[in-house]
Parts: sequence; structure tokens; C-alpha cells
Amino acid sequence: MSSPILEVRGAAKRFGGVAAVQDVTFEVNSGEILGLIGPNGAGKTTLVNMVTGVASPTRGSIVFEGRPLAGLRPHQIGRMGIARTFQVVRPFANLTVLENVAVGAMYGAGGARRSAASAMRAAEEVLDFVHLLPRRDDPAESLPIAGRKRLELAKALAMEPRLLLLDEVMAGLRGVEIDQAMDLVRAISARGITLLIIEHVMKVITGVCNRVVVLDYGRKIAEGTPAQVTTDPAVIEAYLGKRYAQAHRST
Amino acid sequence: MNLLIFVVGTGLAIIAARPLSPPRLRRAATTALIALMVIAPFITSSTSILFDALTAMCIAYGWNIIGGFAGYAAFGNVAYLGLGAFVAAGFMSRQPGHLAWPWFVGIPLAVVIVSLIAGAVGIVVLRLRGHYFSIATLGVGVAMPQVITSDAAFGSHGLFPNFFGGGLPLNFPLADDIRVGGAVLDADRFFLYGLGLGTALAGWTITRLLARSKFGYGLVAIRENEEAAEVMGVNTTISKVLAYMLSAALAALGGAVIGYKLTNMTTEAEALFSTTNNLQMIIICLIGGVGTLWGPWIGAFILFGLQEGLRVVSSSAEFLAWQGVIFALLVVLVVLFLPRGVMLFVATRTRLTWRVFARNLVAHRV
Amino acid sequence: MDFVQHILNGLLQGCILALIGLGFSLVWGILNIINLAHAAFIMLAAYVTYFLWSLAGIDPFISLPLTMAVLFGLGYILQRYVINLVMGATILTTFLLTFGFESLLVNLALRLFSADTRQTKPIYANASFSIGPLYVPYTQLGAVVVALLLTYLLYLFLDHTRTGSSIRAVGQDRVAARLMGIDIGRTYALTFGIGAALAAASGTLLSTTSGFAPNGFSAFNVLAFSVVVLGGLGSIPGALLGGLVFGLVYEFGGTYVLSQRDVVIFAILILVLVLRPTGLLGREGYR
Repeated sequence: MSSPILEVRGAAKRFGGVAAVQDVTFEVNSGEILGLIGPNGAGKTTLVNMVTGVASPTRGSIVFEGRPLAGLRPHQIGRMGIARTFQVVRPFANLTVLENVAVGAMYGAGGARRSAASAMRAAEEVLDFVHLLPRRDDPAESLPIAGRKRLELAKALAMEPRLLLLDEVMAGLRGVEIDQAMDLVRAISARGITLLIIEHVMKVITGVCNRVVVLDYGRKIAEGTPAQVTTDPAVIEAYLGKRYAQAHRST
Repeated sequence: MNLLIFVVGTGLAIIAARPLSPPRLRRAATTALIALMVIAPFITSSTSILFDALTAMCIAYGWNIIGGFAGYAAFGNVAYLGLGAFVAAGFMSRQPGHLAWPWFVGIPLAVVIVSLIAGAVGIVVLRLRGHYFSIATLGVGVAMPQVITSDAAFGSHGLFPNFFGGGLPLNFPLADDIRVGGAVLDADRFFLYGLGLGTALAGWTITRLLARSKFGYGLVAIRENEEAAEVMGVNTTISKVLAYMLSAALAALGGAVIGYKLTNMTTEAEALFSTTNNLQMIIICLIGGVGTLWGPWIGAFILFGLQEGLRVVSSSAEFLAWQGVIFALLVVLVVLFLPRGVMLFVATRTRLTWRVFARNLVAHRV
Repeated sequence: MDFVQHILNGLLQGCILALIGLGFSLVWGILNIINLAHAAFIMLAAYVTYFLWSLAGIDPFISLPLTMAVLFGLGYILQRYVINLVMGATILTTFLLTFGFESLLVNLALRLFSADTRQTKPIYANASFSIGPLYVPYTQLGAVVVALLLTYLLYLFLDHTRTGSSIRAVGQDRVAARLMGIDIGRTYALTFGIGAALAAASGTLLSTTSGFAPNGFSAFNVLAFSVVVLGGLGSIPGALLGGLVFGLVYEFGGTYVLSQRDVVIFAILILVLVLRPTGLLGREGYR
């Protein structure tokens, strides 16, 4: 069993009177692909925001590679080796595809010792990896949605993260594009990067994830392998309601 | 003759700016442009308006960094322009009680001091965004002239007694003519012009270095998507404050040199803080192309070229009186018809037709 | 007693500032535009009032509705045919456009009317009535009455008329309002016109209370902004409160730190923006 790269203990986040996340505890093991699922509004993105420093936990702790993340600002966390993609993809519109990725190479975990020029070269490698190299000099806003998703991924990869958080990277993609994205995710994992994936597309969860954590109304309601989680009555109830869960139990 | 210099200069700058031209041609154009500006005082009788254009360019390069690269539209950099002039005068004045330091000490020192002040202001003001940031900086521009007249700080018994004259006249020393061999080069036409050219080249060089640097990319990332930039590792706070300080430094540099040429800081100086100066740095960037390397150069040459052209064709007195109106009208027209500036035609494949202007006009209707 | 007189003066002036803030806030809250030409509208109205009085002998408080109507028309046309073009553009664009118009109007005024100081001085201009040791100039009193009346009328209009409701709807959710059949272009122009009319009223009142020249109004932009920020965007009582506070600041600043008055105003503005950007009474929507 590999050691945990990320430990979330009793994490909670309140926005005024609303508890977006309550007492969530789980670990992400080094090298694994962990799925994070739950109905809309369950607190998944808030959790990712807490890990990346965009939101600060009102309670609990988050520890990355043994270092507590409390009080650190997003850019510091980014330089430590944690990268993320955003659910709503907004590239640096007035820069080229290459320049978009180069920013990640300049400022991420590997950025400090790089010059702008060598960051461009590193960015080329990443673009090649995500199969976007032919579009390197195109303005980022000229890419269609699937290309933008891959660009978003490339920007995060260029940061040389050890932990990569993907926030609904499959949203808006269709059939073949999803398969390609899944291959890409597996390839990233093969490089040794630990992944935490927020997803709604079940095919991806069952096809790619080693383990799954389920949130509902800000609380963790289940944890286990994809097979265990998709047959867990609590999970079914959360997604589909009591009646369906009862029906499922009786079959 | 000046008009000709402006026209040729604009053309050379456009060639240098075109990304589609071969690099050797662009480098040649750049060299030719610099050479042209260096020999200008020898081929024209008065370099006054060239001086105005070059110093305005330096200040515009400053605005370009915070407003163009970082995307934070500051509306009060005129404060640093004026402050730069006053601080430099305070150090260089040869009047009793003043330090009488030479220009190569007084001016850089003023730039540094104004930058530090801008840093302090920036730390507070850059926590704001959008409308709030713009108006807050507008407030800086309105408040700064009053800080200078403050008795508590600069009066006879203040913290820095009489630094700005304290009610008595404050003057730069008159610049000396340069003597080379047997020839005498007039101070205004050569020396001060040379300083002006120096400020423009400083702005251009700094921008050139910025555009290819990690810091520059960080600023653009902030402009395009600040939240994403932050999680990617850009320290947005420090980057923004540094950009603001840099913009203030260039404004102060331009202002100090302008003040040096004005000499008399007591009566003329109020005009340094004018709304026109405030708008001018922004409009120059707009005309040329916001956030680009050559934008401020092209914009300044076009703006002052137009001014010179109008002066040539109309009677001097009448033109001077309507200058404010014409400038304001130009602002409105540029904003409506050409918000991306001349760069739209230079950097992309857009062809110069009436349709482009019409399209720009309605592009942002709701 | 001097001190109490200052407080009274400050509150009286504050009512005019509240009116200025109200017009500014309406345009900002509904159109999301910071209209830097607001100060120019105030200036124009001051001149219209002045010329109606000096050339035709019309009392400023009587010509007030006319001046408001004129500026309403100007504002409506300006928004409908020019500013409307940049409604979807960046902040820099709209800022520059309104700033450009301000500069244009001020410079035109300088050309046409010269930089001489004017003041509208009806017969009662220098007269005042006293409450004990305090005195209240009739012009100031009239200004307060007008300002409060207009504020109340605006509240009634926004809350109890269909047009007012459609304005508030457009301010809250433009897409939904359009789907409900509200004409966005007309509503925007109408709102802008009302803002200009309120500015006009302020200009008329100001023309009586002190001397003015074309370039003396630019500080009102930052002042209007400060009033709205302090009181809270979207709140009518907030604009009133903000106006009164800054009226006091203006009065005491003018007496004790005259040449640094704007620095004090700016400092308060920054403090509010950094500590409590929603202002004292601000909230969502427009009430």
C-alpha cells in the first residue's frame, strides 16, 4: 500500500449560514486515481478549492506530502506541486496555445529554475503529450471545447504537479472524446502523477478510478472501489432518491 | 519638418511592429527609427514638439504596463507624473535651502522615491478590481496635488521643510548648453531633447524586456484570468504591485524631465496634474494598441503628429484655443471606432476599410 | 455655536451631495456604468439655470423642472445613440467614453462661456432666516427641500410604477427582463436620462449656493462615487446617508484643512472600499 500524498481530516467550510462541506475525512494515496462524486451541490468543487487554497477551511486540516496547507495562498500551493483544472474552462484568450501552457511551466513546481525560453520548450513537450502541438501558435480562443479542455489539462501538467485535481474535465465532451480523455488520464497516471477526479460520467469513474469517495450535502457518505460505491444503497439514494434505492435493494 | 519626422517615424515603427514582416527588416526599421530620432535635432529648428511626444511616450509606456499588460486600468498615474517633477525639482533646485544636486542624481532619485510611494499606494489600491480600482486611482490623481501643498508635510515647519518651495518659487536650474569642439549645442534643442529621447527609449526597452520575461507573462496571465493565474503559481499581489510601481516610475521619469524643461515649477506645475495629461497616456496606448511593445510609440507619434499637422494648417491662436475640445473629441472617436488601436491593422490580417470602423462601432452593443 | 453652524451647513450641503450620489448610483446600479460625465451634466445644468436667470430673469427654483427636462433629454439621447454602443465592452472603454464626454463638455463650456466665475443670485440670494443663533440661507433651505422631495419622488417612481419596476428588473437580470418583454434599450436610455435629470437638479441648486466655473465640477465624480460607496450601491437611504456624511466632511474639511480636503475624502473612500465595500446600507438590487 503506498503512502498518502494528501490527507484531509475533518475538513469543513461554511459560507455564511450554509455548510458547503462538513467533517470530510479521506486520504489520497500516492500514484492512485481517486474519484470524487456526488450530486450537484455536494461540495466537491468547494473541497478542491480548499485543497488549492482558493477557499480556506473553517475547520479541519489538509496535509500534502506531510506539509499542512493551512494559511498558504493559492500560488504557494501551486508551486508546491498541486495543480487543478477548472470546471468552467477559460484559457488565456489573447495568448497562443503554447504561451498558455508556458505560463504553467514558468510558475509551477518546476518554474523557479526555468527561464522563459526553456519554459517554452517544456511547454512544447506537454503540448505534444496532449496532442495539441499542431495548434501551438493559434490563439487559445480559437480552440473548440474539446481542445480547450485538453489545453486546460496541459496548463496544469506543465506545472509538473505531483497531485492533479481534475474538476469535471469530461463535461461537454461526447463519446469518442470521452474515450480519448480517459486514455489521457491513464497516461498521466502512468507518469507517476496522483489524480483526484471530480466526475459525473459513470463510465469514467468505473473505467479509470482505483477508489471513489462520495459526497452528499457536504458530507462523505461512502468510500471504496467503484464497484462497491455504485452498489452502495446510500449512494443510490443520494443520486436517485429513496424509492429507487429500495427498489434496488429488493432486486 | 517635425511633421515629416512624425510621419516617417510612425511608418518605421509600424514596420518594426508587424509580426508578419521578416525579422531582419524589422530590426532595420528599429535601427533606422532610433537613428532618425538621434539626428532629429540637427535637421529641425525646434525639437519642442518632438520632446513632448517622446516624454508622453515614456509615460504611456508606464501606463501600458499596468493598464495594458496587467489589465488594471489605472486612472491616476498623472499623480506620479507631477510628483516626479516636483521631487526632482526639490533635489535639483539651486535656490537657498535646497540641495542643488545634478540631473543624473536628482532625476533617478526622484524616480525611485516616487516608485516607492506608488508601491505603498498600490498595496492598498490593488486589492480592488474593475470599477473600484479605476475610481480609486482616479482619486489618487485628484488627491496628490493637494498632498504637495500640504503644510504639515512640506510647509516651513513640516516634515520636509520647504522641500517643494514652501510658498517660495521652486525652480529647476537652467540647463547648460553643451560645448563640443568649437560648436555650441543649444540646451533646449539638444540636451533636453536628448533626455526626452532617453526617457522614451527607457520605456521602450523596459517594455521589450518585460514582454519576453516570466514577469511579463505573469502580468498577462493576471489580465486574462486572474484566478487561474493564481493557482498556476503567479504571486498576483506582488506582480500587480511591481507593475504599478514600474508604471509610476516611468510616469515620474517623464514628469521629471518635462519639469526640467519647464524650469519654473511654481506657476506652470499645476498643469502637470491636468486631466489632459491623465487621459493622454491612456489614449496614446489606445491609438497604438494597448498592451503591445510598439503601441505607445505609434500612438504618441500619431497623436502629436496630428497636433503638429493641425498647427501647420490652421492659424496658431485659433488652434490653441480649441485644443482641449479637439483632444476630447479624439478620445471619444478612438474609443468608439478604434478601441484596439492601429495594431488591429498591423498585427492581424485586417484590411483598412470603412467596414472595420463600422464593425468596431457596434461590436459591443447589448 | 460656530461649530453647530458648521454641522448645519454640512448637513444642508450633504443633501445636495446625496442628490448627486443618487443620480450617479442609479446609472451605476442599473446600467453598471460609472458615468464620469455626471459632473459635466451638473455643470451644464448650472449654466442653463444661470443663463435662464441672467437673460430671462427666471428664478432658479422655477426653472428647475425645465433644466431637468433638458438634461433628461440630453442624457436619453446620449445613452440611446452613443453609450449604448459600448454597453458590452470593457470597463476601460466605458470609462474612457464617459471621461471623454466629460472632457468634451467641460472644454466646450470653457470656450463658450469662458472661465469666469458665475453665480445665480435671485433676490433672496444673500438672505437667510435664523433659528436661534444659527442661520440658514434661503437658497440652502430651498436646496434641501428640493433634494428631499426628489429623493422621495424617485423612491415612489421606482417602487410604485410599472416603468420603475421594469428599470429595477433590468438592473437585476437583463436577460430575464428581456424575456419578459421589457425593451432594454429604452429602459437603459430612460434610466440614464433620469440620472442626468437628477444631476441637473443638483447643478441648479449648486448654481445658487456658490460661484462656479466650467472646470470646478470634476471633483464631484469622485465625491459622487464616495457617497455611493459609503452609503451602499442600490440603496436610496444609503445615498442620503452617504451624502450627509460627506457633506459634513466637506464642510469641516473646507474649514480646517481646505487644501487637503480631497485627500480626506479619498482616504475615507479607500477605507470604506478596503474594509466594507458594500457600504453601510448596501444590498442586492435597487431599493
